[in-house]
Amino acid sequence: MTVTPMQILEAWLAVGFTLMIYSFLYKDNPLFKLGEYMYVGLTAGWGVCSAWFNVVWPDLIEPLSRVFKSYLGATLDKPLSHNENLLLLIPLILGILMLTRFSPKLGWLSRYTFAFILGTASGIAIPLTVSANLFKQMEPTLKPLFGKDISAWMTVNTLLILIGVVSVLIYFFFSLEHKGIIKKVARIGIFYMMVSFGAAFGYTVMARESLAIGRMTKLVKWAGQDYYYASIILLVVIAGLIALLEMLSKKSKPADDSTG
Amino acid sequence: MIKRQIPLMIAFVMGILFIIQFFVPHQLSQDLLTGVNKWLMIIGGISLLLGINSLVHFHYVQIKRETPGWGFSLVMFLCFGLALVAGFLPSIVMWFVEPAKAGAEPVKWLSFIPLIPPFEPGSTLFWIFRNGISPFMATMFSMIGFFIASAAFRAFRARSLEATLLLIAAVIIMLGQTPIGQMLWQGIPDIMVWIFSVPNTAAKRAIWFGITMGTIAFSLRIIFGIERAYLGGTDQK
Amino acid sequence: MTKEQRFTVTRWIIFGLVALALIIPIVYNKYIKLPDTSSRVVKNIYDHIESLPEGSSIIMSIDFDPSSDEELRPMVMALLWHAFKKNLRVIGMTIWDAAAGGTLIDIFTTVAKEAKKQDGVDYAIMPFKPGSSAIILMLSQDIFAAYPQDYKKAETRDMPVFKGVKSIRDMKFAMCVSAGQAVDIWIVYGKEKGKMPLGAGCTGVMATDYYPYLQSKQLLGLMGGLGAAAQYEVLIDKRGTATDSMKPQTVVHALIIVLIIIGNIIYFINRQKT
Repeated sequence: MTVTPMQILEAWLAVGFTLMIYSFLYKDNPLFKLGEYMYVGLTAGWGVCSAWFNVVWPDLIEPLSRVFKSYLGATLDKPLSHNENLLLLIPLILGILMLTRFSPKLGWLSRYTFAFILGTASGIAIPLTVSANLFKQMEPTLKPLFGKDISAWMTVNTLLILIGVVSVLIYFFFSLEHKGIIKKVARIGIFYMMVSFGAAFGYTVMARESLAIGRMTKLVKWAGQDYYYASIILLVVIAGLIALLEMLSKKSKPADDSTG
Repeated sequence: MIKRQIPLMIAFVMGILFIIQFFVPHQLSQDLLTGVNKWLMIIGGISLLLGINSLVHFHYVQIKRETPGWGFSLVMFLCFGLALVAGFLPSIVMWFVEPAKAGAEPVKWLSFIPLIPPFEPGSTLFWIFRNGISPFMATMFSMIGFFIASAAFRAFRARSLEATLLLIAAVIIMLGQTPIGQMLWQGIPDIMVWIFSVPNTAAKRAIWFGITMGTIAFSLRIIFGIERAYLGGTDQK
Repeated sequence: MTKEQRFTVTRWIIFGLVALALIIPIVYNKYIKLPDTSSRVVKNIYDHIESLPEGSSIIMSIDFDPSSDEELRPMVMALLWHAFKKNLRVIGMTIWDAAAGGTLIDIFTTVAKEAKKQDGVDYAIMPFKPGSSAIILMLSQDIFAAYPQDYKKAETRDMPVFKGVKSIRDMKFAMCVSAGQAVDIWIVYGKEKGKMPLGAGCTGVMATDYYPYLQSKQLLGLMGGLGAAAQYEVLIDKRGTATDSMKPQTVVHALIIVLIIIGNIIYFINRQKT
């Protein structure tokens, strides 16, 4: 496989950025900060472009301008679709009202937009959440314990799930004072949660390590001859820079004896 | 009235309207849902643009007051500008130079600008994402892989029965997720699946019930005007 | 050495050990042989895709950004490869802003090129739209209202890939691969309104959250993290990044377990002393 000069440049950039961030493993340093701020700037710029080119322009400005053009009698390259109408002025107005949030005098106007968003979202959420997260979840919790296709093991598991759900709910039911039988049941709830959190931790280890594996795999690849030993050279350069910066900061602050 | 009552009324009307909408299968009701969701999407787009305001303001103040590390804020602005130029320049050039033939060959003196819309492969913005944003994002989160090992060494102690249960479950999952588990003992993957599907399912389901009840209560509070935090600030009159 | 210095040095040693546990198996990858693993919840997704007739429409919601790319990309690549091999029509979308860039388009175009599939005919890529739940709800009513154009601004209505499809109700499968709240949104809004079979892929961090939905059959199957991706690669007989990554993964898991054991031994010795 031949590596193009562009791929080499991209690898050097990626290695540089990766090692700048990894330098935090040693301790917080200006190179890490530089990387952090570059990241914030680029991401913010990307966000603005994304909002503009994916939504505001194609879903609002372009269709609205077509609507106005058609009202003014101009010929359009294709007829208006049923989504292209003056009702689009409503989200435009609501969006503009949201802009007033930053004005001390007109800030109250943004409440209209927030009321619209929150009211609608709440109305939509209630029936769907009840159905998906209450009814549908209640059903398997209250499964029959015995039956033709139900083995003894399945019965035990169904019972264990039922006990678990009830005991965890009781643990979270703060209106009841946790003493006597309630305390004992709540303790069982804690056991269930500990097992669940342990499982989540085990899975989290896998998740975080796989991200590190991905990064390391790339660094190993870029350390090769094809990429002019990018990882090795930049590791030395970045380590040297951090040492240099540390020496300079120690010189300027001789009394400061801080360690990482 | 117009500052307080009308927003509360809007929330009430919209909330009740969409609860009813769920139970009405008529086409008109479905169109209403689609239409209003489209509006929400557009408002979401505008709000994304607004979200930048506080970031820009914060860094602008840092530079203006020359607070220590203001140079980093300057770098932030440079990178922000770079991404904006990469995103908008091709479209601006297309708009002014070749309005009728967008995407066609650009005029010669501008040919160094690739006239590829910003969200297509080959565009400069796309390149910035892949080579500028991507390595940062990937590395930031991968660092936790190192910290989690250090945390496991220091904090994962069998101090009590509860902590021991947590520890045992975590170790079984760590073993079961990789081939090492079945290499040690064939039963480990089965125990792992049982942990996921019985004790974990029970605990998570109860937690979900709690979250759902909270969501419903919060939604009802908004609809009936009890929750007014979104009216903002102390001036809620 | 002060307590603080001892803390820092121990931390550096652990970081060094983790780096070695990752780098050595990556460098010597081809010399390490490990047995395959399998699980029912992953196989359910494979079986469902396998059972679909040619030309069926499916939708894949790719809701992660480069921060979870290393963990979830192999999963999507394997799923997409399987769908293309079965000649299914695949719609790719995202409700996550940063996924619209490198992730969604990159994965789809790469796999499609390898599987020799044509944009607009065998697959289509939708642009990012904000509003997450609003988008999913629109998809359950009218897919063309949500996405009148694809990411290249081509009209979706005219595309052969959308033939016979008006909403996600007409789709035979929806798969959400997410590093955030997207799976929850798909369960509450997509599954409730769309009624199509739903599969989920997520990072390991979130995987345990979705087990209740498997038992209630709201999810057909679940793929959690890189391990699930490796299992899927075995199922489709196309071993790649995930299978390779399981080698350093195994070594680093072993290292962390050893660290936990050592930490506990130290703890018990100290407790006995006091």
